[in-house]
Amino acid sequence: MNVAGFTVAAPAQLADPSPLLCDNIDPETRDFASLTTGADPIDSQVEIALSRVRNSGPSVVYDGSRIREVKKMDDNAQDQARSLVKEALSRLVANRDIRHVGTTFDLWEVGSQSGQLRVQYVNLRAGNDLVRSVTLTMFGG
Amino acid sequence: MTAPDERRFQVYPRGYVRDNVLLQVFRNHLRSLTNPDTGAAFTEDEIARATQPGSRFYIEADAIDVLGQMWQRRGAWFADQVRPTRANTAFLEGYHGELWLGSNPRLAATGGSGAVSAPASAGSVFPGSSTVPDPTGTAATATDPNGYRYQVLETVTTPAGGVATLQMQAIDTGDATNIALDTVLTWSTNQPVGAEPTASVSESPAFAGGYDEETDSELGARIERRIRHRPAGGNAAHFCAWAERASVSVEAAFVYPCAFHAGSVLVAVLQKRGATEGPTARTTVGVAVLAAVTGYLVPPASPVVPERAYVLVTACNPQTSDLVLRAALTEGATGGWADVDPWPAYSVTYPEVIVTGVASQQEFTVAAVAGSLPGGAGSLSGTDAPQLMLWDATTSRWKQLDVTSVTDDGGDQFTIVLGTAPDMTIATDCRLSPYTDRLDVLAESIEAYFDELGPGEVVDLDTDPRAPRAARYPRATNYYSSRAGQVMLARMIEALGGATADVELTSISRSEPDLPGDISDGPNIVVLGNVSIFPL
Repeated sequence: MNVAGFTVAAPAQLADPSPLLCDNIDPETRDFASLTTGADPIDSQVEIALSRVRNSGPSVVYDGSRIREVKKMDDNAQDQARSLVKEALSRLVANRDIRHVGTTFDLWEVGSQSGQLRVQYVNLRAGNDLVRSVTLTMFGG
Repeated sequence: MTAPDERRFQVYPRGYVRDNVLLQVFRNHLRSLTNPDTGAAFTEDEIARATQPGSRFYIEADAIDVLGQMWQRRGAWFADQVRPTRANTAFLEGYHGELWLGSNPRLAATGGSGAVSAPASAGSVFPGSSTVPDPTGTAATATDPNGYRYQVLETVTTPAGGVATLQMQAIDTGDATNIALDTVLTWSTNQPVGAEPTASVSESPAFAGGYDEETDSELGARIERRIRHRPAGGNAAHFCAWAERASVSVEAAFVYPCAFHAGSVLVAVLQKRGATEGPTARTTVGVAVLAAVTGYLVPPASPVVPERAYVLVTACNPQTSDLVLRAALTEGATGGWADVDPWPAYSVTYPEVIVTGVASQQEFTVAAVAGSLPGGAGSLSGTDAPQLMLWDATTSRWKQLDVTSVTDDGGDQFTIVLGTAPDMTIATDCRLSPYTDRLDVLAESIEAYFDELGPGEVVDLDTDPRAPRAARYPRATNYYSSRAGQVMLARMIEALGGATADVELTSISRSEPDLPGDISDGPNIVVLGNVSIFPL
């Protein structure tokens, strides 16, 4: 681009689709629909912590997980996945929002192309001791 | 220290917009809503959880904040471009430089110049050319040990003594061409018949005036001076701007209009210090630098000054100023005085402890208060010996002494014996001070202060009828003050940081330069002489 005699870089294009999706807006009230519907805010944060790619943008430098970095289903992959889940949930655990019960591996075979793991936790803010879980499917590189 | 008034517009810190969205808008709105699970209003705890770091609303608000920060950064960056001293290279050259100084505003690098002794048989002719490099290729050139090339400026015929004194200038550029005394130059082209294969830098001062290409900060400062002091129609500011444009080695030019008579102009230039050591680095203007300024300003050869003007270009003449300082530093500590009981201490009778006799470079005597050694000792040696430093006036630095013993000789005389000779020449009149490991920080801050000074007047402003016109331009009250004094202490305290409680300027032998005896010699300038420093 040429502006007043100076060459400036073209504005950066955001990756498509944007990693930060907008909320649904209630057409009647113009409120964010998710304010009063949907998941418990802590459950939602667990989901974000496990699904968002850590450091994929300046607003999620310390949020999200690096679990997609596990590329090889070798002998160490389970330990690696456990450790990355712990890192992803560390803020919520430190904040006494959840208790991390454990990480189990539902479908997991060394050398295969994919695996499935289950993260179990207790939402300490919800007022009951129900163990909730999030299931993650991983694809080997 | 108060924060400078950095911006004329409001800037938001990172997180300001995010917190505004979350705290003021989002949370307030949530308070007005009903929790569908409980049928009651959201509790503060629920609201806090829904908007805590890591929550989707927090991340979304933070993303808005980041986007705003990016645009704000562009605004701040663009605001910086308005000021020449903050603008980046492209704006400085393409906008400010083009606007105020014309195309290609940046000054090119220059080569050092000076006198060289060339042994040759009498009558040998060293061909020279004042155009560097010589387009006809007839001038004699030589190379120094680093491979930099130098050219003879004027044709010289070797006299009967068999040694020709040549003025030479570097064809290559930069600070490295300010070669030291006794550097050997080997003739590479057009060596005259009868000349020895090498010549050497003979006259002190050695080569000077070599300087790298003008930096952004130097160019920015020059543009600001150009804006502040409007040059027009050959006024004093115009002469300043011309002189500063003539060579990159010129730090600043000072103009004395009508100093000799109506229609005359005296221009005095200061040279940039570069990497040159010593108090006269700015006053020893290289031959080529002076020639470049003279060629640009003195008619009829001048491309800018009309031929009827009488213009004289000179350097400034250094007048040394000796200082006695006292600093409150911790005693017996790193970052302070090295000794618990520093010797010598300041006294009114011996405000400076001066070397009175030199037996060798490892043994000399000084005069100080009789019987003043710590504890009234007659002699102190080994680890008991006071730690001392000596001021080297040629480089404006203190040199630590490797003291073996200090002996009270009776009267006011003390003999100091060193284990090794220091990296300087000990001579009578050198100044002795107690040692502090802050020696270089102190010396550099004093030197930097003296480098801020400019030359004085050439006529007496109180009595001379030429005073209203012939006063220095720019005025000494405006910038480049000609007076040395207490401001130095502020510079030293800044440099020492928390290491000192206070510094005192106990005496200064010269705070203002004298008027020159002959105006044609150029103005005088105060430069750093000998420095003594004692505990306060």
